[in-house]
Amino acid sequence: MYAPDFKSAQFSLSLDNPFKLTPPREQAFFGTQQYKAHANKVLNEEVDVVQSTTDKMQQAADDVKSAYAEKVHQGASFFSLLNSELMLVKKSVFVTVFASLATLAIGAICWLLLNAILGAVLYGYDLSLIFILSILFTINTLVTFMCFKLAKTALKHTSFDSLINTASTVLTQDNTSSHQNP
Amino acid sequence: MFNLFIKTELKNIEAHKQNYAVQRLKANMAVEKAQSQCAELMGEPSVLAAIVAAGAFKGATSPNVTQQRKTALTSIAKTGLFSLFR
Repeated sequence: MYAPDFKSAQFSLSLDNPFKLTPPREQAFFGTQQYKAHANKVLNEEVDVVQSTTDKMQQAADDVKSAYAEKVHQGASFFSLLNSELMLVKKSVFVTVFASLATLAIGAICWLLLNAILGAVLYGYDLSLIFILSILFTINTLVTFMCFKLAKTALKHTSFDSLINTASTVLTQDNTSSHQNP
Repeated sequence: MFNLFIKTELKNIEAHKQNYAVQRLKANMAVEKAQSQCAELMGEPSVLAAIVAAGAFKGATSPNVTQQRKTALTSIAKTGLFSLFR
């Protein structure tokens, strides 16, 4: 029975995680000279033992099995990585939608406040109330009309017609060229 | 600051990436070990004897031996030559 001296124990870094505090036993070597000699003796005994062919075959089969299991684990961890990426995408879509809605609402309030400030400034110049309101109405109507024109122009292109036309043109060109080539 | 709501997801992804890298390393090591073990098994005397016995049986039973012998010797020479430069 050899008691390892834990005060002078040294550890090599764990391969999979250098910050792991308890490395596996084969990666740890204990400080005392006595224990080292004992460990070396045990190791040499293990090496000196001649393994039979069936043992080696058994070991090879076990190694192949464990390699297969590790590969399966690798696939599983790859899928979990993929899943976490998908979760990120899902949550970002939600966050985008709700943040856009909040932006819209707060932007509307800002626009109202801008109008109110403009009206208050014009009221400070002693203009009549009806005149101020008509100015604000004109500005708002102009902006609305511009936005409407933008939407109408863009709406004309929100169809698959041009896509279909382009595709059919390209396809017919290809067909004719392929007919002409031979 | 602005990734307030997706912070946990980003952390999760990092952890899973680390996990995958470690697992890939482990799997590669296991595959390498299995390969070396199988290669070592091929050099066992009994396995070599079995291969030689199978070849002898094949040679004793097949009708056209010379062509097959030529092919076998060529492949053995090729393997030996390429194992020198590996």
